[in-house]
Parts: sequence; structure tokens; C-alpha cells
Amino acid sequence: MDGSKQIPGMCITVLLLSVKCKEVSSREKCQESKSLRPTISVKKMDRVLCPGEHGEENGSVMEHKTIPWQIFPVLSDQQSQGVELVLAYAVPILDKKKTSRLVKEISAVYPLEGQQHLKRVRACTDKASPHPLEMLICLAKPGKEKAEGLHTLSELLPDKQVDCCGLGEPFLVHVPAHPPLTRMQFEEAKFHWPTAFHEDKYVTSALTGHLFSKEEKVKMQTYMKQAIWAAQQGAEKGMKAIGAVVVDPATEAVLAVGHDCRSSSNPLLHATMVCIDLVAQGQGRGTYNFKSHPACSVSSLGNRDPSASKAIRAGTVRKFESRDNGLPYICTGYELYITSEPCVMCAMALVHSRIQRVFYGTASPDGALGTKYKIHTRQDLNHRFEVFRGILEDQCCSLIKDS
Amino acid sequence: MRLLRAGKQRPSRIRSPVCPPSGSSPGNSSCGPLTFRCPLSSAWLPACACSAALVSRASSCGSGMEETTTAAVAARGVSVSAEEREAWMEKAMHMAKEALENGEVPVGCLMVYNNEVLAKGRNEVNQTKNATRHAEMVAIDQVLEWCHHCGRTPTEVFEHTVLYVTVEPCIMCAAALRLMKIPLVVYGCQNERFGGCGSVLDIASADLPNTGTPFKCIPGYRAEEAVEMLKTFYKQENPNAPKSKVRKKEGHKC
Ligand SMILES: [Zn+2]
Ligand SMILES: [Zn+2]
Repeated sequence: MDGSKQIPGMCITVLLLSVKCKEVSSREKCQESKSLRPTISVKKMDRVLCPGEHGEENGSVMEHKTIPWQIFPVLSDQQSQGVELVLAYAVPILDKKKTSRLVKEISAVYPLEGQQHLKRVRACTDKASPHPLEMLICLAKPGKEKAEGLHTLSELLPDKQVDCCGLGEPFLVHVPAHPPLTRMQFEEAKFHWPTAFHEDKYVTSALTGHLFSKEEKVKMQTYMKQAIWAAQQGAEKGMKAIGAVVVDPATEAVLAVGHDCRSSSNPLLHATMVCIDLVAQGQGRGTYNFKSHPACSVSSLGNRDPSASKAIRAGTVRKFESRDNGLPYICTGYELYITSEPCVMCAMALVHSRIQRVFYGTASPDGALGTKYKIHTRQDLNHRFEVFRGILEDQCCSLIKDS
Repeated sequence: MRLLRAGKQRPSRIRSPVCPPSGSSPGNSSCGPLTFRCPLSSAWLPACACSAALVSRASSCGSGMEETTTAAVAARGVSVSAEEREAWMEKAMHMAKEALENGEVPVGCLMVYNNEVLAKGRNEVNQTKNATRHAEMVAIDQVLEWCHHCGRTPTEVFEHTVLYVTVEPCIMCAAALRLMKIPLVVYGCQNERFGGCGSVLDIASADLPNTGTPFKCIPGYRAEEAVEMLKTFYKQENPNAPKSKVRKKEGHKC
């Protein structure tokens, strides 16, 4: 059974019940961990002082400052690519009065299945045209027209199902192959043939830079500054200058701060992997010991009772997947702020961890959230998340260059 | 049902620097661990895919295996004979079976260096609450620990290490294996949901100059059997089965 197609309601029950059982074992397990697995240590962060935080947590201080960066959504290829065109047969409507009958009859023969975005009739683009309207008949078979020449009207509508009186001779026209997903695609699509557009307001506002308010951007900048701070701490110790923080947007709490810890003794401790493990440590588990990296820390704020949180957003999965003790399922509902675009390993780790959003400063050569792949948009994976690039891009970029 | 019975917690696993190539794995205690999986959440699952999807591909990878089973395969200086591959995959299958019997996700995973097993990974997602603790990742860490213990350079060791795993590594693990510069991966069945060696993405051979080195794959070893185990596992845990709710509730009594 494909898990991704299951009913959410079913999952909730399963989760809640699982959680209850799990808690019983977690206490036992924790005790064992202490005696048998000394490598596990959870540092409770006493709010590591990060330069980005000073006086800037309060949005009003920043109010007068302008935000010196732009944020860009990293959309799927389908959303960001140009409009794909296909050839279709259209026909002039010589007698305008017969339009509604013709639409009815031709639609019965050629319902344009899967092409519901295409309008059947268009006003003639050429003002000098002798006929006022043109009508779409059907999609052309690619290549066939070139080989056999254009079909005539009687070939296209052979069985007298349509009274062709009032129609001119068919011609070929380029029409958009898919429904437009963004306003930009819509503008391009309708240039070729009138196209319906069900605008996703969320995507449009993301594309036009209106998704986040000034106050939100100030907060986002604070988080990214903490990530930059972590990157610098790591770099000072010879690590790759990449930093990251995990934030619970519902409580605005920073749950984990980490930097790249890759070394010959563990080449896989990329900043994302560090942060994912820190979140697990915040939930009493985890795998690695970051004692020698004091800038990698877990916040005790993450254990706060969520009922105290200001803004548990209605309708988010997190609400349903939260544990009895209020802690979310691994990274469900959380946001990652990271100075550089994650690699394939880290991007897929974020899929497995159910992150909600990733904000990265600057692109990476083998990045998997926009550069080489868009792992977060893949329909064939069972979790997708939003990705934005550009917060403090210049600073994030120079971190890498300087190291 | 068995999956949700509350047994005593098995002792936490202490990693031995060198895992014996045979014998029982440290995780093979008689009492089943308390494992929970959100059937919806990949986070609670290892690199293995859903049974239905896997089953559909089992036959195809089985046949694709024919050409490779007979010959020795060399990848970047590491050569393994067909007999070796079979012997190690046999062990991996045995691990998967053990896991299944213990109510764990049936995936077996071995890292072999110079005919010595350096790591036997099993999925530790539930124990660690870290969704990245797939068997392969755990095994990589075991090899790193072994290197540390024996004063060996990890790069040198990994470049001569072969991974034997009953299910195709996921995209994350495939990228990790690249980063570790492992030359060869022998696996059982395809991982239709997360596979990183061709099923969803081909990270194994992709052009990623900053992500380690590509590795060679030999898929299809006893794929039907590997799939069958997963199928059995998911049948017990299938959330769409009408009995599921009841089962969970019963499990909850523990
Ligand atoms: Zn990475
Ligand atoms: Zn994996």
C-alpha cells in the first residue's frame, strides 16, 4: 500500500496511540542510555548569545531599517518552466450567430479531455480578419500533419455529427499543453490561446515577494544571523563555514543551532544532519555527541508546552501529528534556516524528517533544493516542503568564499 | 500484534569495534523491541519501500540479475567474486529475517572490507528519534568507529569497502555512500519509494562532482525474497487494513 495515499484521519489515531506506548518505553530507554551510551549528551542551551539576536529580536528596533535582501521561492520545474506548446486545429467561425450550436456539437465530438484549461473560442487577434471568432477543434497528432498535410474540415468532422455550415477551413495553432500554474505562465500561455487560470494566490505572493511581512522578514533575518554566527564559530575551528538553525514557527522558538562538523572522523556531519540530530536530542534521544562543538546546541525552549504557544496554526499537519507531550514528530512543522543550500543527502534527510520549510542563504554547486535537484517538490516522494532562497544571501555567500 | 507487544526493552546496543561476520547480531535478542512506525511517515521507516510497489518490481530486478550473478565484479579496484557476493548477501538476508522475526523492519546491511565485516547496520530511527538513522548510515558510523579504534584512515578503508544490503539504498543513503567513496553496493530489491540507485533518482551514478564519487550497483540479489519479507512486515503493519485500528488499540494496552 502506498503510504502517501492514506487518509489523514487514520494516521492521527495511529500516531496518538503509538505515542502513548512510546512514552512508556522512552523513560526506560533514557535510563539505559545514560548507563550504556555515554556518548549521548543533551546540552540545554541557555540561549547561546548570537550577535544576530542583540536588540533585534524586537522587530521595532529594525523597523526603520530596510531589508537588504530578497527572498525567492524555489518552485518545482512545472511551476518555473516556460509554457510548453502543442499544435491544435482551429477553425474560423464565419457566422457568429452559429457559435453556441457549433461549440456544443464540436465539444461532443472532441471534448478536449485533459485540456480543460483551453478556452474553446477566441476573438480574432487580427482586427483586419474577415471573421470575428475562431474555435478550437482538437489537438493535432504530432508529426502527422507534416507528413500527410493538413486535415480538411470534413476529415476532422466526418460523420455529420456537426453541421459545418458557418465554419471556414481549419488551420494549425500553437496552444499551451498544460494549465498555467503561475501568473507568469498564464501571461505567456494566453498570448498563444485564451487559457483559464486558477491562480494560486500563495504562489503568486511568494513570487512577487509579498508572502512575508516586514516583521516576518526581520525575524527571518534574525534566524539566519544565528545560522551565520554558528557557521563562523565552526569555521574558527576549521570546519566548513555552514551554519543552520531549526525553528518552531508556532512558538518562534529556536530549537537547535548547529554548524557543519564534517571531518575525516565523520564526513557526513553536515550542518543539516547536525541540526536533525540536535532536534532528536531535544526530544531526549539523538545519536551524536557534540560536546566538542559548543556552538552546536539544543534549546530547552523546544520542550515548552505547545498550549502556551501563541500561534498554533490551524490546519497544519503538526497539530495532528503532535505527540501527547506536545512535541512534534521529529521535524514536522519546523523550519530550517541554513546558510548554504543542502546537498542530496541533507535534502533527503529533511524529507525523512518531515521539515516544513527550508530557507537557505546561497545556492551550492551540488545543491539538491534548486540547483541540481528539487527534491522538495518531487511528487514521487511522500513528503514535500517549501524552500526559499536569498535571506542574507551576500553574507552567506561570503562565508563560503572566505573559508 | 507481535509488533506492538510491550516486551522488556532490549539492552541498548553497544557497538563492538569489529562485528563478527557470522553469529547472532547484537540486536538479536529474543524479546521484541517496542517499535512504532507511523505507516504514513517515511521518517519511521528505513530505506525499504512499501510492499505493493516493491512487489511489482521484484520480478524485473530478478531477471536483470542474471548477467551479473555469474561473474566477478570489479569497481574502482575492488573485486568481488560471485561466490563472495552470494555469501555476504546470504548473511544480509539472514539479518533481515532476524529483524522481521523481532518485529523490526526487515533490512539487512553489511559493510565488508578485505573479507571482514566491519559493520552490521540496522534501522535505528525509532530509538534515536532521528529519521536519518537508516541501516546504511548506522553502518557507516560503525565503520568510522572501527577506523578510529584501529587507527585506520577512513577514506582508505571506505574506498575498499563493499556494502551488502537487502533493499536498494534511499536517496539520502546513496548520497552518503558517495560521500564516503564506497565503490560497490550489492543489493536485493528495489526501493520504489525512496530509492537512490535508480528507482526514484540515480544518485549512484549522477554527475555530482562535489558529492563524493559515483558507485557501482549490483541489484537484484534474491529480490523476491527481500520483497516478500517487506510484504510480510507491512501486512502486519498495514494501516489501511480494516483491523489496523483494533490492532493499534490492543497494542496500546501494553
Ligand atoms: Zn549535506
Ligand atoms: Zn536510507
